[in-house]
Amino acid sequence: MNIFIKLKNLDRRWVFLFVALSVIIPLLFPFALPVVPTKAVENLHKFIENTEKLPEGTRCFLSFDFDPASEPELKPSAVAILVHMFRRNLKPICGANWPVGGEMAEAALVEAANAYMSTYDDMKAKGKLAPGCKAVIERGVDYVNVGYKTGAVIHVKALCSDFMYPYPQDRDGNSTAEMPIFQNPNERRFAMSDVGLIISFTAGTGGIETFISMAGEHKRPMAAGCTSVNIPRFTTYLQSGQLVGMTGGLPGAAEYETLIERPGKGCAGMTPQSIAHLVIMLFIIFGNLAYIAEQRNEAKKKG
Amino acid sequence: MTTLLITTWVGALITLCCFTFLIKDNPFYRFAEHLFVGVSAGYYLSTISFHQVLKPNLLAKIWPTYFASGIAAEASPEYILIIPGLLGLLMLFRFSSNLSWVSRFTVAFVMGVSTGIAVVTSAEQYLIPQIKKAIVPLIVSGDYFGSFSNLILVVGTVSCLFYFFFSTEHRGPVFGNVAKVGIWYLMISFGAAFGATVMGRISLLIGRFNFLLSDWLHLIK
Repeated sequence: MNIFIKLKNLDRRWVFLFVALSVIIPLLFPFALPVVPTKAVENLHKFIENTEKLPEGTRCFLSFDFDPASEPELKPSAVAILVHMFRRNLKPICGANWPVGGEMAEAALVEAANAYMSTYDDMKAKGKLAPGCKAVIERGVDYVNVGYKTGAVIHVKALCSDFMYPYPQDRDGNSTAEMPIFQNPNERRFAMSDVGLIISFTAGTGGIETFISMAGEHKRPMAAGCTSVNIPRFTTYLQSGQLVGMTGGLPGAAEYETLIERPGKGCAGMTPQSIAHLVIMLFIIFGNLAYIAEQRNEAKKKG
Repeated sequence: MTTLLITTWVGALITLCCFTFLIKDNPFYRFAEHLFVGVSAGYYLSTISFHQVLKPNLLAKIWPTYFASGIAAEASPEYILIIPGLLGLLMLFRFSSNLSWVSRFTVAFVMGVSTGIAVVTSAEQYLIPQIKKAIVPLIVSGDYFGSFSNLILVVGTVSCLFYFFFSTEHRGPVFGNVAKVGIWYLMISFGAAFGATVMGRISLLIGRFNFLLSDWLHLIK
C-alpha cells in the first residue's frame, strides 16, 4: 500500500520520460502489430474502389483543413488516399479552408505522386491499376493544388454556384481556366456538380462540417479524415449517413495503408502508439490504486 | 541539399527547445514560442494572404491586365469588387483607438451574412438529419443486437436531453434517475473524447520523434 501512496507523489517528469521511451524504443527497434481496418475506413476505401460511383477520370475535391500542428495525424491519411486515387485514375483537386492547408496539400501531393510513379510498374504487373492509369502524372492534368481561400462557409457556398470564380489561379499562380483537369466535354464551366467525392482532412472547425452544412446545395458524397480528438464528434455524421466513410487519426491512416497494401508512416506509428497507450493505461491504473490506498489510510486514521 | 540540411537542423533544434518546457519554463522554450508566432504572422500575411487570396481574388479581378495570368488577363475589370476591398480596408481602423468604431461596419456585414447562412444550414444539415436518425424502432425483428443498439441510442438521447432541461428540478424517482442516466452517458462520452485526445497527442509525439530519429539523426529509415 505504501508503494502506491509513494507513486501518487511521483514527479510528473518520470511520466514524461516513460512515455517518451515507450515511443522511442519501438521506433528504434520496430516490430509489427496487426492492423485491422474498421468499418468507417473500409467504407471509404470501398467507395473510392467503386467504378460505378467514381468512374475513371472523375474529379474529387480534397480540402486540407489543417496546419503543421496536426500534420503527423492527417498527412499519412491524405497520402494514402491520394495514392489510391492515382491508382484508380481519379483526379484530385486539392484546396484548403485553413491558411497553411495549401502547403500541407502540396507536401502530400508530391509524396503521393512520387509513391505512385515509383511503384507504377510493380502495381501494373500485379493488376492493381485502373486501365487508364499513366506512368507519369502531370500537374494541371491529373491533379492540381488550388491552395487556400478565406471565408469557410461563404467560400464553400461560392464554390457550389461557380467553382472557377474563387479559383482563377492555382496555388502557384497558374491560370486554372486553361488547365485540362477543369475542362468539360461540352465546354461547360467546371462546377461542384462535376466533383465525384468531397474529402476534408479536418483538424478542427472549418473542415468537413463546413461541407456538411452546404450539403443541401452541392449534394455531393462526403468523407472525412480527422484528428483523433474529432473522432467521437464526427462519428455522429457517419451514423446519420452524411459521411460515406472516415479515417480517424494515425490509426485510421494505418488502416487505409493496409487496405491499399502500401505501409507508410501510419503503419510505422502503430507499434509505438500501442506501447505508449499501454504505458498510459498502467499509469492510470496505478494512479487509481494510489487514490484508493490513500482513502483507506485516511479511513483507518479516523476509525 | 544544403537548404534541406539547414531546415532539418533548425526544425530539430526548435523541437528540442519546445521539449525543454517539460522540465520547466525556460528561455529556450520562450524563444521557440516567440519565433513561431512571428514567423507564422509574417508567412500568413505575405505568402498566403497576399498570393493566394488578395492577388487572385481581388487585385487580379479589378486590374486583370496587371495581376491576372492566362486568359483571365483579358477579362474585363470587375469594379464592383472595390466595395468589398474598401470594407476590408476599414478593418485597419482597429489600430486607431479613436476611429476603431469604423471597423464595426465590416464586422457587422460579415456577422450578418455568416449568421444568416448558419441559421438555415444548421437546422437543415445538422439538426434535422441527426433527429431523423435518432427516431429508430426499439424492436428490430430477428436482430437482437440491432434492437439493443437502438434502445441504447434512444435512452441516451432522451436522458441527455433531459439532463440539459433545467425548468424541472432533477429530483425524485423519475426526474432524478433519468438525469442520472444522462450523466452516465455524458461521462462515457467524455471518456471516449479523452481517450481519443490521448491517442491524438501520442500520434503527434510519434511524428516529432520520427522526424528527430529519421530526418535529423538518420537512426531509422
